[in-house]
Amino acid sequence: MPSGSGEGFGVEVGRVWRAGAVLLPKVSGVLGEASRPLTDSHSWLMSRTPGLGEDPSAKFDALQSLIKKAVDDSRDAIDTCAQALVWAAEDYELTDQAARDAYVREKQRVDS
Amino acid sequence: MTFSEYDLPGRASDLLAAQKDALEDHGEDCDQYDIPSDEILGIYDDFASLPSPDNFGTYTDGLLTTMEKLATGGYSTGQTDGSTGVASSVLDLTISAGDEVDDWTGKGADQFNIWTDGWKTGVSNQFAATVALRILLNAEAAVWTGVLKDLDDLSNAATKAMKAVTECNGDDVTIALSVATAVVGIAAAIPTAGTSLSLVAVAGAGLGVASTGMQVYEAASKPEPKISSCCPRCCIDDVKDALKDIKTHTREAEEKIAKDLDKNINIINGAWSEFCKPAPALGSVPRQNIHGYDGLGSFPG
Repeated sequence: MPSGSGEGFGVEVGRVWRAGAVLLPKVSGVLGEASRPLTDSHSWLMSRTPGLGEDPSAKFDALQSLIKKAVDDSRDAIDTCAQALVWAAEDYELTDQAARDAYVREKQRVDS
Repeated sequence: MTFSEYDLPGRASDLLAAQKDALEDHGEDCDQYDIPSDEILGIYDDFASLPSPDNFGTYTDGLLTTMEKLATGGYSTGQTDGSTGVASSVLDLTISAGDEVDDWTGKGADQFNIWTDGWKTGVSNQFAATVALRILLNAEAAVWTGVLKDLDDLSNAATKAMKAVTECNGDDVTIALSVATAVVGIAAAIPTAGTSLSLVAVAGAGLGVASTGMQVYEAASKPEPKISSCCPRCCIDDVKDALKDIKTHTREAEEKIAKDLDKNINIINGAWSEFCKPAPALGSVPRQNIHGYDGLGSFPG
C-alpha cells in the first residue's frame, strides 16, 4: 500500500477523495436529471388514422435514444472516475497524525 | 372551445343537413343534387384520429429540462416570450475535480485532467442535439396544429358552400391551407460535428417556437382551394380534393421533418466520440494499481 506523511500530503489525498466523493457525484446527479425526460416513446403522441402519411415517431425515438445514450454514457464515465478517485484516497496509508488530521479535515470541508 | 377531430362527425352531419335542404329547395334544377348520405357522413373519416398538438407540450417541456441540465453556456429557451437560460454551473465541478488531481504524477491522473478539460465539449454537443430534437418536435406539433385548423376551416366552408347552393352559379367559398406552410423554414440540424459547438449560435438559430405554436412557421403564401356552391356534387368533390391536398401537404411536411431527424441521427452516429467522451484511463486502472504510474502516481509536493 502506498504511503505518505505530513499535513500537505494528507490535504492532497483529501482533495482526491473530495473530487471522487463530492464533486463528481454532483455532476453525475445533474446528468441523471438531464437523462430522465429522454425516456418516453413518441409513438402514442403521433399515432393517427392509417393512410395519413408515415408516422415519424420511430425516428424521433431513435434520435432521443441516441442523446440519452450519450448522456448516460457520460454519466457512467463520471461515476467510474469518481469511484477510482475514492478508492485511491481510501487506500493511501497516512503514516503520521498530521497527515491523518489533514485528510479528515479535507474530507469534512464543504465543497463550494 | 378548441376544435378537434372529434368534431368532424358533427360537421359531416351539418353538411348532410345542408345538402338535404339544397335538395328540397333546388333538386329539380340540377341532376347533381342527391348524394348518398353515407358518402357525406364518411367524408372526414380519414381524419378520425390525429395527433393532438396539446400533448406535445409535456415532451417539449421535458426537453427544456434536459437543456437546462446540459447547458454549458447561456442560451435562448426558444419560447415566444424571449426568455433565456443560464449555464448549468454544476458541470464545471468536473473541471474542479481535474484541478484536485492536477499535481499528481501518474499517467491516469494526467489523462483524467486532460479528459475533464474536454469533457464539456461532449455535453455541449448533447445540448445541441437536444435543441434540434426539440425544434423538430415543435415542427411536428405545428403540422398537426395546421391540419386541425385546416379541417376546422374546411368543414365550416363546406357547410357554408352547401348552404349557398341555390343555383348553378352560386358563390364559391375559399379557404387557406395552413398545413402547407407548417414547417417552412425549419432548420433543425446539429450545426457541426467533431468540433465544439457555439451554444448561443445553436439556440439562436433554433426558431423561436412555443411548445405547440406554429405561428413562427407560417409563410405568407398559402394554397387556397375553392369549395364550389354550384351544386352539391361540385361542393362535395371540391371538399374531397381539399382533403387530399391536406393529406399531401401533411405528408410533405412530415417528410421534411423525417429528413432532418435522419440527418441528426447520422451526425451523431458519425461522430459519437464527440457526443460522448469515453472514460479516461483512470477509470480502467485496477484498484490495486491505482497508486502506481498508470494511476495517480505520486504527489511530488
